[in-house]
Amino acid sequence: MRRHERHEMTEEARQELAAVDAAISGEAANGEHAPLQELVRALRGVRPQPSGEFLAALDARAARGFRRAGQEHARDSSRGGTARAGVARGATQKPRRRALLALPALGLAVAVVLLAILLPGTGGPGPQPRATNAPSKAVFGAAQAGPAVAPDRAALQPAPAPTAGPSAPGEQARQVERTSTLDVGVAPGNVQATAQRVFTLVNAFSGYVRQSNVNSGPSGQGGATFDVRLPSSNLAAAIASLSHLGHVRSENDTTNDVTEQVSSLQRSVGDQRAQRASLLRQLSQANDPQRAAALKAELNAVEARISQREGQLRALRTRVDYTRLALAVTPEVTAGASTGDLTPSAAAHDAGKILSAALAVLVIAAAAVLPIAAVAIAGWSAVSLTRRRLREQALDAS
Amino acid sequence: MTLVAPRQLATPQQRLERLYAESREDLYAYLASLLGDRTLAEDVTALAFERAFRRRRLFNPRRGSERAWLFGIARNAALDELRRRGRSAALAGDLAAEESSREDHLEGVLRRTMVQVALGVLSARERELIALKFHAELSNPEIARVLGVSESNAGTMLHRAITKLRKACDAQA
Repeated sequence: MRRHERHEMTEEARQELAAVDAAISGEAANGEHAPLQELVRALRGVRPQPSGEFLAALDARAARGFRRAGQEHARDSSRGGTARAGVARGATQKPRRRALLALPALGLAVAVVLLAILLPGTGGPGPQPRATNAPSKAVFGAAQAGPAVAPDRAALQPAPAPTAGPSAPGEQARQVERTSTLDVGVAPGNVQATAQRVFTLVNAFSGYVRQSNVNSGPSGQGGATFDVRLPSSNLAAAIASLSHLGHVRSENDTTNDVTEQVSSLQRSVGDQRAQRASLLRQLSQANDPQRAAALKAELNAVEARISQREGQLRALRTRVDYTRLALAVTPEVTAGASTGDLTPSAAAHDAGKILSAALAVLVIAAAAVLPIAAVAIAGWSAVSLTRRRLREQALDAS
Repeated sequence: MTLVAPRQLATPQQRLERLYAESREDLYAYLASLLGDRTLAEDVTALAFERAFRRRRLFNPRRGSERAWLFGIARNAALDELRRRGRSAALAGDLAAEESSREDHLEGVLRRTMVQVALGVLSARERELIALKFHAELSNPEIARVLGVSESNAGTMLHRAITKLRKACDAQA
């Protein structure tokens, strides 16, 4: 019906339609429009009238609020036959269509929930402490409480080899060099005590502190840095425990696969040794003093290369077996709440973080939902337009 | 079903009850004209009221009158039924035979027969316009709302249909 072109009504048409309205409402028409009154009368004569039986049944259904109409139609199969059954089917198809319409909404809800769950960093403010099976409660509790407490010996036992380490199953042949950095925020007054716990924890995990710098200056100016070497097999557990010293500000892990380098050095050492053995044989058989001197010089050079390659190999294996951890302990004014001190400013800071995280979740959810909603609206519009056209075509075809 | 005074029509349910009382025969007349089948018209009339009762809270007065809203629901239901069945709307068909016994006066019978034949000349859309105007007695804005066109377009189409009907009647006279 919308495809009809737009027309402005003529004055004559307006007058005739006004006369039709007047005739329908029972007003007397003048001479020019008297035939319209006749037409209205004639059309009223052919106006279909409902039967009394139908009206009575309809009134009864209206009194019940037209509830359970589909069931009534289905039961009433004896009256009306196919036509009624068809209309009843039309009525019962509605819930099915509603269920189909509910599917996209359900999909959206599931997508939003999955996003909220799967996206990292949306579960709460700041980095989350990682799970650990190494020295945990005793050391963690001591770190938070303030006073230095000797950690439980059993709890300080190094953790089992981490699955991601170079000795993990399936990675036996790979030689991986690792370096890590960890920045832990603590309350300004806890820098010194935390530094002590760092030494304790590193020892507990069979590592050592190669270099350290602890500065217990005024609030915001102190801090500590540690150059730590930890057995690679204990790295994950050690970092998990160190993370519990305070609020993890940043953490970084870098890996470098040196398997090829190790193999190359091993081959080189083997070759040099083989050459040394050959030179030694030649030297034992040499009768010419000049020839013997030349062989000795070459032997010395080979020995030097062997020594150099073995040194490189040892250094490389040390770097593979012991991971370098650059640990920083940074005083944080707002770290009180994270480390157990409940102050209004710390609580406000944490509340702000929670609100920021909630806002981030909302933004991400909106980013996911809006395109889907746009597609759904476009689809719904297309379906409505198509249905409307089909309806009009049904009328045109009649 | 009880009629409720207008000043008491506060709830959608009460307004719909009043709409039902005022419109049931008009709606049936329109649907019978559109579908050309009395039995089917009865079913679609009931279905339209059922849907209107179910969706009564969705009615928006800013988008037209309640009668236009109800007739829009009925039209969609009727056209869906026509589409599903592939039926033809034959206003002057089986309805004519059933109406012939209503009026005994010879002049009335002749006039009715003439109008029925003239209606057969019109297209389905034009017959629908005539039914909306003369059988359901909708106003032009209400017809525009039911058909989803502008009021000006509805008036133009209605005027054309009436003119064509009058010419068809004159041709028989």
